[in-house]
Amino acid sequence: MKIIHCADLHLDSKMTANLNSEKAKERKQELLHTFKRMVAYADHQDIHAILIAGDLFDTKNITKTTQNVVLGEIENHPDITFYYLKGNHDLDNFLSNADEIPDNLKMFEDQWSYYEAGKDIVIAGIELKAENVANAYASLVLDTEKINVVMLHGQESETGSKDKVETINLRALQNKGIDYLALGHVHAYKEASLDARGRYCYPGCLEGRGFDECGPHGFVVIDIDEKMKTVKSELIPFATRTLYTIPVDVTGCMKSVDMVVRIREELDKQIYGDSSLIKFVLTGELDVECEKNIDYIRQEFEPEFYFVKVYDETKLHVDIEQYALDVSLKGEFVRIVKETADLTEDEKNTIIRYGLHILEGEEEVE
Amino acid sequence: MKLIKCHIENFGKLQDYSVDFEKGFNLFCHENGWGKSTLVAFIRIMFFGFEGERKRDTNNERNFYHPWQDGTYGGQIVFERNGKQYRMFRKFGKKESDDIFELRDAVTNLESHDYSSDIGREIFAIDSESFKRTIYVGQNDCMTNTTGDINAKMGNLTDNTNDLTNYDAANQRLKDILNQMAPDKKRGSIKQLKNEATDLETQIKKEDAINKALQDLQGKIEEKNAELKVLKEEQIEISNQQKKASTYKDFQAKKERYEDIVKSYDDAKRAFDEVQNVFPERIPSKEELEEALAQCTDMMSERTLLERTKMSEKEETSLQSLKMRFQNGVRSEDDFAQIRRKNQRLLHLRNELAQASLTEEENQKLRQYEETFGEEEDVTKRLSELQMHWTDRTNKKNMLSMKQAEIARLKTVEEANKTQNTNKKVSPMLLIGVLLAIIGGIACIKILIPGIVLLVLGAILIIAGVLMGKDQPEGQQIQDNSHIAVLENEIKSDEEFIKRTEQEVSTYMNARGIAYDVNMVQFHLQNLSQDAIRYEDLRKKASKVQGNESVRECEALMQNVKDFLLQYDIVCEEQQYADAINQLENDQKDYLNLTDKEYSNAEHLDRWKQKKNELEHLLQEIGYEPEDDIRGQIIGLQNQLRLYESAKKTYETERQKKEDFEQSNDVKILLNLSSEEVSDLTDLNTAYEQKNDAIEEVKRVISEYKNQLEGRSQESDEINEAKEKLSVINEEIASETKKYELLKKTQELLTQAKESLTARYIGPLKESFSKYYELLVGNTAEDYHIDANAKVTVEEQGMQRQTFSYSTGYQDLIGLCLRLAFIDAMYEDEKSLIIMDDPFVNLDQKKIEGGKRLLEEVAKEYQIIYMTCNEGRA
Repeated sequence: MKIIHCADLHLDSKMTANLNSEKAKERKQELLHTFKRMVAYADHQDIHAILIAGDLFDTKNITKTTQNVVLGEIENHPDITFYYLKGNHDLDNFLSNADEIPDNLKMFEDQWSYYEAGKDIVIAGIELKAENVANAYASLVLDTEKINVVMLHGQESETGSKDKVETINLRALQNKGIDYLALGHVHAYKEASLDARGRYCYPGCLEGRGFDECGPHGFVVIDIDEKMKTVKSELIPFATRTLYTIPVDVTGCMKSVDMVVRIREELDKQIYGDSSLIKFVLTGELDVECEKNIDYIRQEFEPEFYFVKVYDETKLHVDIEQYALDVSLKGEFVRIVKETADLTEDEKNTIIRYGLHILEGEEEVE
Repeated sequence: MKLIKCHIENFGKLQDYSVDFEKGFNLFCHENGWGKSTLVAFIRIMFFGFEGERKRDTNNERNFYHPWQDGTYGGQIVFERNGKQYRMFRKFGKKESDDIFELRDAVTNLESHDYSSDIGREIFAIDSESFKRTIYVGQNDCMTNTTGDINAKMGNLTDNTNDLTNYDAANQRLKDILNQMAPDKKRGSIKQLKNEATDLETQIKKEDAINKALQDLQGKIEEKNAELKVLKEEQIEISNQQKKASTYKDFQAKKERYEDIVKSYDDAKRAFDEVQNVFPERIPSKEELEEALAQCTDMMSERTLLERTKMSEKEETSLQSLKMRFQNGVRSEDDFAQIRRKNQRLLHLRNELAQASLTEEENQKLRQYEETFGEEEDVTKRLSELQMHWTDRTNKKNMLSMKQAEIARLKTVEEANKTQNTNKKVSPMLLIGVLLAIIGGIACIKILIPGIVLLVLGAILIIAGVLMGKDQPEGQQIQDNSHIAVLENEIKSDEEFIKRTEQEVSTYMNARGIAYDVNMVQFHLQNLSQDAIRYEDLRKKASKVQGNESVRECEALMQNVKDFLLQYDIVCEEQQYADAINQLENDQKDYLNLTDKEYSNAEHLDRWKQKKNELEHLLQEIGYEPEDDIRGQIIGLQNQLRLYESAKKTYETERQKKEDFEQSNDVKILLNLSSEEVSDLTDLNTAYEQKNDAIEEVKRVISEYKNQLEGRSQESDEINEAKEKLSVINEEIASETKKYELLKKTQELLTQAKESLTARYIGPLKESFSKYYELLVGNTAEDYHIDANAKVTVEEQGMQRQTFSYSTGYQDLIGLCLRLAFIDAMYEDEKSLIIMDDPFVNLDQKKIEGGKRLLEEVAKEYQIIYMTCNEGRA
């Protein structure tokens, strides 16, 4: 039996963090479309069930379109059972348009729910809340003779919790007979050993939304051999677009065009699809007088990708010797800045850069 | 640098105007409207070009000084710099690009490229504005301040870098940026961000309240949903009651109808159940019974065939016997044809041989003769002998009486003749011949040719022996014995001979079945001799055939046929071979027919049994014990089945009627229909409507709650959005504030740098200022201070005050002194010219005098172009 494990789809996410309103709207639709594609994939690949381990929606106020699309996909695929465990972003109000809950949609509550997904396959899940988290682990009872898939939404305990999400105590879930712990909340794919028997997995979000969600994203296909009692899982990259953060060392460049060349050299090292969202992080040390136009650099690459962002993390280098004997306002300025006591070196360099650029007649200072 | 002369083609109101300049003071004292300001403007524009090119008002100098009359717009100036004289010519067009600039060496008149059209900046190292703030003192424009160019020129930095000239612009730009960003200004971007952040924070503060409201609303919705569920159930109950009430009569009729249907159904079911019991085990199908009946017919046919193929006792006996005969298998038709051919060949050969040898009659005769004569070899000879013997005997018999008479006669003479004795000895040759003939005869049976040889040899020896025996005694008896003896002997011999011959003939004839009759002996012997001769002939003829090749083939064929028949224990004469073969073939046919019949009988028996078993099995399956008359039994079952089918059809029709009725009617209601339970329909309608209203009200409330929930959800989302946005804005505020602070610091440090740089020439500047101030005013300028920005302040009561509150005259005075101080600082090496357009217009008389002194003093070092309309200031 094959099962899809996905989480953190964050449908109806505003997507405005990086994108303009037009593209944000487009990406918002793409998220919904990727969900539809995933269900179509399940249909074509003979997938029996789809586990949604929380944060199906990004907002409490779900648009009618999204409600109808999600509900429609579930209703139109009666052969696929959808196991939907709500996350910290979710409310079940997406069902408010439905007259009745489709038979193939299985929900979870603040008590453990156990569903028979096959003759010997059990899918269990609980929505962790402050009120039930204390007893959740102890109250989980599984038949060790069966293949047990457990769904939870939360932050694994090693890294601590944030937001309002509950912590998942992996230690407390060990030796419970879990074969596959289907988690949600962490937006990056992670798969590791739970105990001698089972493994736990965060599939990550279905689509990367920001530059903290770079790299391939998709869902996990769990392949359960009921006869052999084996469980295998594999990440299927499925996102419409991929986000990349590309550090580019521009040390020594004196002009924006030189930096563009450096970026091109970096791009040549790997293939990035034109549908990608790219964030170039300029690093290294630049001469204080160098000409650096972030907008120019960004615009240079914008036609080549869906979205381009240029982030400047360069350090400025000031050759103080160069200005030691310079009888000019610039020389005098650099010397004075350098001699100012209550500034950090970075601040001094930034001030020098500001000053020199202003003196050069630059309209904007960066 | 100084001006030598100037010629104006057309410029403003001046036309074709020329003037030569002195080295020192050049006074132009003319009444108002003469064109003094135009002249000084011409000089400035010749060096720096027009100002306000893009303006449409009087500030557009190109338009303002456009000649009042047609003609060339422009003119020329001859000047000297660094000991070299140049002639500068400009012709102004409608726009800057139409302007013509030309510079020639004033001595050689060759075109010079020492300066470009930007000649003012190149010579004076300042821009037009700085020129107007220093060298060029416009009308009512004595006040001055430093510019970047002035500072740079004063700091003697021009040769290295002109960055000081950019200070003002830079400072202004910084000011503008800081203003744009200012956290404390309404339009400052940081202030706006902060405002935005404050708004967002205010919005976020509502989060707890909204979350609580969300929870409350969800709880309320759940409550209302539960209420709605109960109301709906109650409404359904009322609806059921309504249905009951409103359709009671119909239901009653229906109930009766239903009861009829149920009764018919029950009857049909009962009948069906009964007829079902006819088949204890299972119900056969119509086809099954039809097939069984057909099988019955088949079975009976088999039975008939079985009878037909049953063998009679005779046939069975015959078959047993034939089985014995043919135990080693049967022969093919070919085998029979072959053996028949062989027999035919044998017959053919026999015929051929028969034609070549003995006829049947002959054979019969031969066989008769053989019976008569047996194996005797020389029959003819024997018979001849016998005949001879008989003849002899007869003769002797006849002679005996004579001899006896003779004897009697002689007896008298008897003694003499007594010795006569007949002693006849059998020749040994004859004995050997007889022996050989017997051996040869016997041998003929087994080995034909050697037997015949021995037989012939025996016959010859017999004849020889007989002949020898006959000749010898007769001759000797007659010759040797005395006559009586001879006669007695002869009689004795003859008697013996007669007796012997009679014995011999008697034996011979008896042996051949002929009664011995002395009288008939001759006859018989004669006949026998004739037969013997014929026998001999026949034998010869027969022996002739026996040596033929065909005979051997016949023998071989006969052996083949014989062997063939012998395999089946048939022994018969050759003549019977054909019959035997035919008989055998017929027997074989009979045998085969009988075995076929036996096999067919067995087959029919099997089939009959099989069909019988099948039928019996079917009957047992159905639950019947098979009877002798199976056919009759099956026909009976068919009748039962027809009854069953009919009952079943009736039952199903009734059942369908019942089901149809039950499907289209709520039977439970019908069955439970009782007049006691039926409520008043009007009351029920009222109750239903009340429930309906209550449901609608709850739905309305739920819908309202949902709307509120949606609104609250939206607010909750907005708060989340606000939090995200606030986070971004806070980061932006931090970043922008940092940038603002650093820019502020940049401005501060840049100013500090500029002041530090300009502080280097502030001392000389103060000195010059004091010098000119004293010349002009007559007092020391010790209360005056000049800061690093070349701003003049006056110390009053321990405080330095700005000069803008001073009178215009004083301001002009201070401005003029400052301009001259600037010029001193700017042009230390080659002194510049100074252009003044009535600078003392605001001074009192005392100061005007001072001004004159000042001009005198300044004219010692500088070429001064001084314009005034007042003799008093000239």
